[in-house]
Amino acid sequence: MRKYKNFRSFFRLNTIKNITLVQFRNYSSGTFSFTAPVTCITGPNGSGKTNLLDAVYYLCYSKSYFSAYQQNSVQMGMDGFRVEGLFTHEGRDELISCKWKQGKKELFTNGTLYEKFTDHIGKYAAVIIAPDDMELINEGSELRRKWVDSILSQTDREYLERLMHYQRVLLQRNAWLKLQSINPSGDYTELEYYNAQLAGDGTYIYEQRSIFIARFLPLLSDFYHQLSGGKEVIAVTYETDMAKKPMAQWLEENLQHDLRLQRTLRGIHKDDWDFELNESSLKSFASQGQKKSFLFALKLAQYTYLSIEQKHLPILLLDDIFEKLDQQRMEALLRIIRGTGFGQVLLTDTHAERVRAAFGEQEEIEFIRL
Amino acid sequence: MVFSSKLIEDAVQEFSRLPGIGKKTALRMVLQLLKMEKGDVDGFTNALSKMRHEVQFCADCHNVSDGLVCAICGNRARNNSQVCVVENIRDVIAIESTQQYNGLYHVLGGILSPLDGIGPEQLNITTLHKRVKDKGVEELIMALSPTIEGDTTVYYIARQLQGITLRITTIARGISFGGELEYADEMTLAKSIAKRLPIENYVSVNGK
Ligand SMILES: [Zn+2]
Repeated sequence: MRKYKNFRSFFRLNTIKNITLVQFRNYSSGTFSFTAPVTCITGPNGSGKTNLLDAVYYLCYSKSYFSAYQQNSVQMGMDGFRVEGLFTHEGRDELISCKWKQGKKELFTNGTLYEKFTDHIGKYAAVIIAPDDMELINEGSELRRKWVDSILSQTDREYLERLMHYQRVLLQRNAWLKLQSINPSGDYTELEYYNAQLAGDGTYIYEQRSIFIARFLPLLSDFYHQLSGGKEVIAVTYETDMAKKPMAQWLEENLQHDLRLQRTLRGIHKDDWDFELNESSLKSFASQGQKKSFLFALKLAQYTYLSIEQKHLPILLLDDIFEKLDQQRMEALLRIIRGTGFGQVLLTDTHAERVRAAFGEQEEIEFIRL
Repeated sequence: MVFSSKLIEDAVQEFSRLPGIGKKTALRMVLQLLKMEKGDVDGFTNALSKMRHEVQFCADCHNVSDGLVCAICGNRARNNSQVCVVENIRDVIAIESTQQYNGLYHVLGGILSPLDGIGPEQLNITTLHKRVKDKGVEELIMALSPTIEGDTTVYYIARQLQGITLRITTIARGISFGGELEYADEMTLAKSIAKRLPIENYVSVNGK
């Protein structure tokens, strides 16, 4: 960890200077600027604090962080929205705009349309910590796969392309299994092709996920100890069918099961990660406080991992987290995010005074009151 | 939309069944027909009706045809040792428009996609197999979309034809090729037919 301590000196700071929202959720129109290192968005519940944070996230990834808004972010009664933000990228200003109209989304850089959204992914990074994120620890494996995929897709273009390809082939293979159950043709030629594709992509994805977790764990462990002050042993076990036999072999040997259940039962689409504290499952045995520290450590480690891979510091978005954090963890968190190694911070809170008190009088904070 | 004439309403209704035609556009078309001479309108509707009744699908390549065999297959000047495999009739039109291809075609009528319920039995693959075996075809040029479904189809056909001495190539596809054939401009399309590659570059056919 030591060697990462001083990276603000050589990692570029990618920041957002201002944002304009038009017909985006509860905003008819509005422009907000973020000039200080820390911006605090305050206002009563329902005033749109989270929507403003999510709009920043939207410009980084051309989609919402929150699943509830994955389909639609248009203000009620309108047929489109626009979000536009002025970023600083490698020392130069860049205007990123996203326009959504009648179900069609377009993304522009300095007025020029991106042909592929994937060309934008990885340019700006944001890490969000929100109250519902505890799902990542408590809920099923799908959320953890999505989380790992979102990190690796930003740092490895081949990973993103292979993952999209894998998912598409998997749909075709499952549809083929269904068709066979209705009307068995005895012709397995298409299956041969699907299997070969899934094996190729699956093996690459498995290898990258393995490498990722080995590099991620030390970061996670270090942040956990900083936050909790504890000495628990942190472990993350990568649970995958691939550890037992290669993807190609699973697909071939499991065909009869797959045909019976009409879906592909084994593969990297079933992977999971088991979080452990002192060799027992975090989900089942840890206290709320330990889980909270673990979740924050996951997110901070994600931040650091992205900054090492992308050589620039992501924007940190904290959604309403101070209310639920005890004094010790809050102080530890602030020490971390105001240290070197962290960049621009945007946060929301119902109470400006609480944030001012937490950061201290000398901290340069810009307050946006909604 | 409220019409004072049932006759107009019916005509508007028929036009708006066409893809991309809304009620407003349909009304504009109907009003235009109303301005035309009765004889001219007869000419218009007769052409449509005749087209639908008399068009046939070529017995060899499944392209649209005015007779049993289409104008392309029937043209002695064309190179019948070369067959270009396409998804649909629009692709034939796109490639013909380049005026750079002198072989024949085979219209599959779709590509393999279990998600859309399309399996090998829905496509014109059996007739392709027969054609290759019986008609002295030396080269099959796969001009299918660069998607999982297109690639699966290329693989499927190549596997079906394994053991037959035949050159199988695909048109050069890549970044310059923005997806479906009909959207490719003529220059790009002509170039990609000229620069075709053996299929091993796309799919490996070494199944058991
Ligand atoms: Zn023909």
